Amino acid sequence: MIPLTAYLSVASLLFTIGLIGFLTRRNVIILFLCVELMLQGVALNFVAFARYQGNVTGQVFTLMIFAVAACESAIALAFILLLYRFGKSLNISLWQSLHEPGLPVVPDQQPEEVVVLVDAMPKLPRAGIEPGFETEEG
Amino acid sequence: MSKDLLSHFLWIIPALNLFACLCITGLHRLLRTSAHLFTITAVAASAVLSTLILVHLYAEQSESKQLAYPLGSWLNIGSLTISLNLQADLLTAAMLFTINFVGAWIAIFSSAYMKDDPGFARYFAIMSLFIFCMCGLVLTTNLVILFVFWEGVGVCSYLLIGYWIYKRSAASAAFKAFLVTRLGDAGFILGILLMWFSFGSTFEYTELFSKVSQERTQLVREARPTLPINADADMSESDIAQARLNNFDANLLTICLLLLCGAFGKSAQFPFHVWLPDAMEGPTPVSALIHAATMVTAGVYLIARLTPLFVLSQTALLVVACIGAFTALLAALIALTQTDLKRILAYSTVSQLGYMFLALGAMDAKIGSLAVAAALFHLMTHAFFKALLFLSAGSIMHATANTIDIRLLGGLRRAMPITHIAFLIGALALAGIVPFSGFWSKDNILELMLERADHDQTKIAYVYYLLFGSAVLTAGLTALYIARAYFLTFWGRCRLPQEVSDHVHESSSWMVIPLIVLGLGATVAGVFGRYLNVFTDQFNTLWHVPHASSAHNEPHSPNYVLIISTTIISFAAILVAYFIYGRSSDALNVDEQPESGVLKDFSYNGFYIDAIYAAFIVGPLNLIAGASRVVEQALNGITTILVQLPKIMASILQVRALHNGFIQFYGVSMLLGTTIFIVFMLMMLRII
Repeated sequence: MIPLTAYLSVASLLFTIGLIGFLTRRNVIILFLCVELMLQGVALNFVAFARYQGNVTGQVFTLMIFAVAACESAIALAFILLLYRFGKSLNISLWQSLHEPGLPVVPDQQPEEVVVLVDAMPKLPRAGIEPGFETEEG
Repeated sequence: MSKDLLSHFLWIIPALNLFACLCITGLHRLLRTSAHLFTITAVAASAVLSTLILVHLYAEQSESKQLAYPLGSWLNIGSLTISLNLQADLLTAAMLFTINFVGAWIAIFSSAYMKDDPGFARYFAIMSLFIFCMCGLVLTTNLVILFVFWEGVGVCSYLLIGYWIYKRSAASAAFKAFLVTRLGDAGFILGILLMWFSFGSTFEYTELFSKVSQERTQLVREARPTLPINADADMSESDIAQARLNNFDANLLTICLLLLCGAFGKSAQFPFHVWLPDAMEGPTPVSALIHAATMVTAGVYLIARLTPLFVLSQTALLVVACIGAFTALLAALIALTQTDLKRILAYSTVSQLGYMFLALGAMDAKIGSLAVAAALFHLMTHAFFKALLFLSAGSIMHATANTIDIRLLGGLRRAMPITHIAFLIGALALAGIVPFSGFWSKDNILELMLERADHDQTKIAYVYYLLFGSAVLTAGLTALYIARAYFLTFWGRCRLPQEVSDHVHESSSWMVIPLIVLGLGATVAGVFGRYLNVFTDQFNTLWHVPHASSAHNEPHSPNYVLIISTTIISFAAILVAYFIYGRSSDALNVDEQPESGVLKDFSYNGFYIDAIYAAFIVGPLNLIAGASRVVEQALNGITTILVQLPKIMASILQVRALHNGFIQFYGVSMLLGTTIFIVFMLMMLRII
């Protein structure tokens, strides 16, 4: 029988690793993975406590977390793809242009040229097709 | 033909029409100009199949003339089961035949009428969907699925009335029709819910009827005072039982009245009749299909289907009869002075539907099934002659560049001989002239009313005599207004502008053939009346109508006094119309100010019912909406101020610098903040 503390230690370890990774790395995909690690640490807590107390609420909750995490990762990956397309880089420190106007750029260990996103904003494609019956409008 | 094969027809008929709709929707780009083939094929095949079903059911010797096809269940929740079963008894088969047969000819007519319309495919897709919904409505075995198709029919009607979407009047007419029928449907669904609440989760017709009937019989038995041995105790017990019976009856009455709301909404009875005349904004074949032959009959079908329920509540039936008679008279009076040919026909539809409701309302324990059969008979003949009248009007519009004002038409009988004969047959059938179909069904209803009034033993027998009188009066008015429309349109001098009148011509053969077929139908549909006793027999056995005496089922000798007097009234009305409108060709002139009188103004404006609704319902609602708008704007102003607060706070506290766009900085801030918060909470709770 593995004691509860063991599960909790693993969970907190996962959470901490995720947190440290999130705060120190600069690659967006790594950041994203770190966030997922933190999430799974919390989920593990739920399962452990649910098992310990002998009710399924925590496990059900974890299933919910999985579902939400799946949706969230789909959206996050889509964002990352789009950001990469505009900036041609995955370095998070390059995308500081969403700050309040007039603030200095936070310098990073590998100072690179900051891409100004506004210029690279996409042109939206034309949505839908032309209504078929122009003559009806007559 | 084997019964198995026939019961497969039950799902094939709606499936064909749904398939046609889906095909047109999916392939409309490919088949812009041949979409009608799908609709016509589907509905014509359905017409053949429904004819086979009708003939088979009629000829079958067994007691319960029924076909059934189980399609499984739609949902199962606890004790609640909604099945998707299909079944056809004679009532359903007659409805199916009417819908598909009349529908097929209207579809053929439409293919020529709508030929150059840009929305050709859309029109036929909706038409197929409509016929699918209507077939589903009559085939289902429970109230919930019926409600689903009921709404489907409403949606199709909305789409077809507003078919010319770029016309503002069509769009608002569609909106009005949808809202008014929705109002009735709200009552309908409340009735279904109340039924669920009172009788448990049985929506299947047969289960529902036997359950309600059993419960009531039980209550009646308990309430009947037995021989009092111990007088006091027995009296109090039977008092309680009597109170329970009264409670049950009141509940049943509420349910019936709520269901009636739905039926009145769909069938355009007072006070919901206002949508139908405006619905003439749609293409004319649509008016023929939906607003004359099939959709508006859904309300009649609903009450006919629920006969065993309604027969237990005489008050509800009295309401049906009174509203029916009142609507018939009101609509006939309005139709007298209308100048738009289609509106005259629309009001006459409302009026004839009133007749059907009057017949249904005459139902009681004694002549229950007879009343249903009479209403159904009138429904069928009406479908034929009204579709014929509308299609003739469509043919006229097609030939005269969409002129529909009868003051502008005139003298068309030489230019359009076939349309003229078709309209004449329809008009004679509507006016109830021997031997056209309308005569037999109308006479049937009048006789029924008289019989009902004669054998009524209660204090309110005079009400039935009044209803009978108003029905006879309405018959005379009907002959008068349709003769007026006929003479103004086809007799006298042509009043069309020169450039239009030069081009008046008989319509193409695809429009004329449906007119001929429906004209024959409107002439001979009266023969259905000979078979009515089969219907009444079946209704009695199927529905276990309490105390149904078989004495009334044998064909009784016709009431010749009544027949002769109504015929004289109709002929007199037609003669009056001839002398006023038929002889003098210059009777009317559009530019001329029509002589106005109080009565004429009332009639012409539909007794100002629309204006009354506008003043007493729409007006107050608009006021409330205006007030709500003011409140909302005030709230909106407050939010705008609130939104400024963070900005102001930020500029006071100088925290703008925190928002530097660097993700890790945000992460650290969150971590710190959360840690501080947790530590603080723990300290508050005195854990550390």
